[in-house]
This record gives sequence, C-alpha cells and structure tokens, in this order.
Amino acid sequence: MMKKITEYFVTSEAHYLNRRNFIKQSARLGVGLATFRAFSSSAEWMQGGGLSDKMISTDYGKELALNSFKEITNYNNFYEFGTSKRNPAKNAHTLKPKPWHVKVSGECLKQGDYDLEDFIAPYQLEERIYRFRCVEAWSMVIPWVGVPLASALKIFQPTSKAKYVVFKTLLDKTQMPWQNRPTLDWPYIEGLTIAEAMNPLSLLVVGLYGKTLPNQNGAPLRLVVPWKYGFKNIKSIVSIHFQETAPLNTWQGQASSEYGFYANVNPAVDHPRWSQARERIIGGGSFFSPEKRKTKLFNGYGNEVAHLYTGLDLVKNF
Amino acid sequence: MKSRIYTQGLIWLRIFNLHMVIPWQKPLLFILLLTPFLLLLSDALLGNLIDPIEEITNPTGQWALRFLLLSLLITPLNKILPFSLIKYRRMISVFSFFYACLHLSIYLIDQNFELQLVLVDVMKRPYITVGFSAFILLFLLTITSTNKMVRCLGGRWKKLHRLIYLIIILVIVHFYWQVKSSTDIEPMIYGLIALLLLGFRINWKR
Ligand code: HEM
Repeated sequence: MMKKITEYFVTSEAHYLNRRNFIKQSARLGVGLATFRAFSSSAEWMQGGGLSDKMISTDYGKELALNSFKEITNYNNFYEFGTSKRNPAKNAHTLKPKPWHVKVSGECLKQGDYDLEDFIAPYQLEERIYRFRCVEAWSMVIPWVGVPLASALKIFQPTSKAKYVVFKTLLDKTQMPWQNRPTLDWPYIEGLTIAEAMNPLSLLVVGLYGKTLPNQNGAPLRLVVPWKYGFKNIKSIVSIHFQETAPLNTWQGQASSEYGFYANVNPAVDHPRWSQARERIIGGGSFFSPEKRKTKLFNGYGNEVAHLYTGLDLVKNF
Repeated sequence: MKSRIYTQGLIWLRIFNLHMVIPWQKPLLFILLLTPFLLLLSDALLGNLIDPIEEITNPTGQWALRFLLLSLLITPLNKILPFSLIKYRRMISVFSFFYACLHLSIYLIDQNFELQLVLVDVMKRPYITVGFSAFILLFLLTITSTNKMVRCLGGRWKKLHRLIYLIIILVIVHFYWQVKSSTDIEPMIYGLIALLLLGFRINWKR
C-alpha cells in the first residue's frame, strides 16, 4: 500500500514539536510542500536530473576543496556492481532508480510503503559538502544533496523502543548482477543508534553536485554519516526499520574483528590489515608523491558528534 | 639467361629461409608480455587514473601472478603439444618479476619511501610479510636465471628453482589475505588454477 506522506504530515509534526518550534516549522512546511510540487511535476527526478533550483546551499564544508564529479562517480565501492572501484560506474546502468519505494517498519507509529518522491518531497533539499573517509585509507570531499535524516525519521514517529535504525539495500540480482556472487551476505544492511541517526550531521542523500545521484553512487537514496567510514553510508535504500536491539551490519558479520558496529573514523584504531593513521587524498599530490593527510578522530567532526560516545571505549567499540 | 633465373631463385629462397630462420617468436612474446605495462603507462600519462596508487598496484600484482601461473603451465603443455615451449619460459617468469617490481615500487611510493613505515608493515601485516617473502624469493630465482648462473649451479639450479612452487603459494595467500571480503571468489579462482598446476607435478601413480 502506498501512503502519501503529506496526509499526516501536519499532525505528526505538531505531535512532537512544542508550540514555539511549531511556528518555525510551519514556515518550513510551506517550503516543503512547494518543493513537493516542484518534484512530482518535474521529469527531472531521474538520473542526472538537476536539483540546483530545488536546494539551498549551507555552510557545511564551504572551506573544503572538492573532488571532481569524475573522481566521485568513477572511483568508489559498491560491491553489488563489482569489487573493483571502476566497476560501479561501468556496471550500475542496470539499476532502475525510478520508480522506487521505501518500506518503513518496526518500532514506529507510521509504518508503510512510501513512494520515494513522496518520501523526500516534504523537505527542503540542502547541499552539504562533507569529507568522505573510506575504511581503505583514502578520502575525498563530496558535495552531497539531501535532507537531514532526523527530520525524515521523526515523521514516522519512532516509539520509545526504537533504539536503532536499520537500513537495507535493494536485493535484486537482475538489477544488481554481482549479488549473484557470494562476496557479501546480501542484501547489504547498515544500522545506526537512534542518537546517531538523529544527529544533525546525518544526511539522507538524493544527489551530488546538484544532480540526482548517479546509479553507481547509490541512486536514488543513500545514507551519509561523514564521521564514520564510508561503508556505513548504505546505498540504494529500500527499507528503514526501527528496532530495540542492535543489528548485525553486513561488514560486521563478514569480519567482526575488522569492522565494528560503530565504524567511527579513528586514526588510533588500525584495521588489522592496514594502518588508519593517514589517508591518501584522491586527486592530491603527484604521481611519485601522492598527497597524504593525518586522519582525524571522527573524520574531523568531533565537535558535532563526540558527545554521542562519552564514556564509550572507542578502541573496544570500533 | 638460365643462370639469371637460377640466381634470382636462389635469392628468393634465401629471403624465405631468412624468414624462417630469424626468430620472430621471442620478440613477439616480449611485446605481448610488455603490453599490460604499456597500457598502464599510457593510462598514467593520459591522466586516466583516478587513484594511480591503487590502479597500478592491483593490475601489476595480478599480471605478476598471471605470468607466474603461465610459466608453470609450460611444463604441462610440453607433455601435450608436439613441440616444445620451454624456450619461452624464462622470459615469461622474468616478466613476472618485472611486474612484481612495479607492484612493489608503487607500494613504496604509497609509503612515501618511508622505510620505517615499510618495515612496520612487513613485520606487522601478514599479507605484506607473505608478499615480501614471495618477492625476495622471486628476486633470487630471477638473478639465478642467466645462462651463466644456470651453468654454474648445475644440478643445484633445478633444486633452487623448485622454490617457484612455494612462491606461487605465498602469492595466492598474499592475494587472499588482502581482499576485503573473505568470500570474494577472485583469489579463489587463481588459487584453484595454482592448485591444478601444482597437482600436475605430483606423481600420482607412485
Ligand atoms: C614486497 C612485496 C609486496 C608488497 C609490499 C605488496 C603489496 C601489495 C598491496 C599493498 C596490495 C594491494 C592491497 C589493497 O589494495 O588493499 C597488493 C595486492 C596484490 N599483490 Fe602484492 N605485494 C608484494 C608482492 C607481491 C608479489 C610478488 C605478487 C605476485 C607475484 C603480488 C601480487 C599481488 C596481487 C595479485 C594482488 C591483488 C591485486 C588485486 O586485488 O587486484 N604481490 N600487494
């Protein structure tokens, strides 16, 4: 069953907001609905469609030097399309990002099966420039377009039992041919604590460089949590599930000694097979002297997220 | 008149013979074995590589391994084919070493030539330890591959060069230990080919 998110949007927002916030929020709602119309009426909600007239720019990462569109879209990991970093760009044309449905289930009041356009429509799209740190010790800077995960999740009214949010990637061997191989335990699963999910940095992403997400970067909907290693940023999301117990994430299940639940960027905790102290900056330096940088705790986002982990042993809980 | 035709004929015969005599197979093989390098070089020079470190490390490692396997294939092929390929084996394995050198150089570039870091890696990371051991052994076999060395070592040469079986096992382990997912089938396929080639050498009837 498809539910239109707009039907209960007003009541649900009012439900958890206090009066003062409500007024502020209603103003935003107007913007949201306008965006909704712009979205559903336009044929641009396709791969490579422009989003620049629908998004606002933000201060996030304004000072950072961007990686090129070519680098971001031709060099990444997406094992559903192959294990080499050139594979996704070559193979992801088989993915059909439209129409797309997202199932919301578990410990929340507003469960349902949502059409992606309705799902994303109520919100103001934001452009945010984030650092991206792969667990393989390389990094990029990427201008994402998306909506704060917190605002999207609050709509579903998670209950007090919702301690974790678990995301799932599409499982479809014709659209994702490498799911025929046993490389990972498909479908890909990633989870966050509810506090991590509600952190203002967490972003539900629908685009990059002002355009809708290319297939190889996780079209049409992916997660971006920039203080964690790249593999936490699950792609092509079809399911969002609220639950009380911690999930076993895909890489954690694959090699629990190498990939923990949190996967926070941490230069002091090496991957058992390589050091995490430094990162290679893609596109930086020269052939004989590639640019390196010391990796920062929480990928440099400590001010925003360190409080989530007070009292937690980050070496044990890697 | 007759003698002119005769000498002309002789000349043609000589040219034809020359064609037969000049060994073109080895230069051709040389070019073939060099091709992956030339392609990589052109990619690098044309700026087609996004992350040169990884995009050279991986293919050069793979070509080193492939040529190692190819050199191990020569002996079984000799038993099947009516002609011998043994004269090409040395060039193939020397090329394997050549690609291993490129592979190692890129790794050293990635470590910014900080030998301290390299030593820590070799001691601490099992896949590097294993790859490093394979490289040292391969180096040993390569420098003992000249005609002079073969003559000098005599019977010991054959014994020494049996190390190739150990090398191939080390390289497969190196490959398997560096992939991100333990259920990735790629190193397993190479492993299977290596096992078949090694199995061929065991005298099963004994
Ligand atoms: C000092 C010796 C060596 C070092 C330091 C070294 C280092 C490396 C590194 C850093 C990687 C890539 C790991 C990654 O991407 O995470 C790698 C992969 C690989 N290496 Fe080596 N290696 C050495 C020797 C060798 C030798 C002698 C061979 C073969 C004859 C070899 C074959 C391979 C192969 C096949 C791969 C996998 C490539 C792929 O995933 O496509 N390595 N090695």
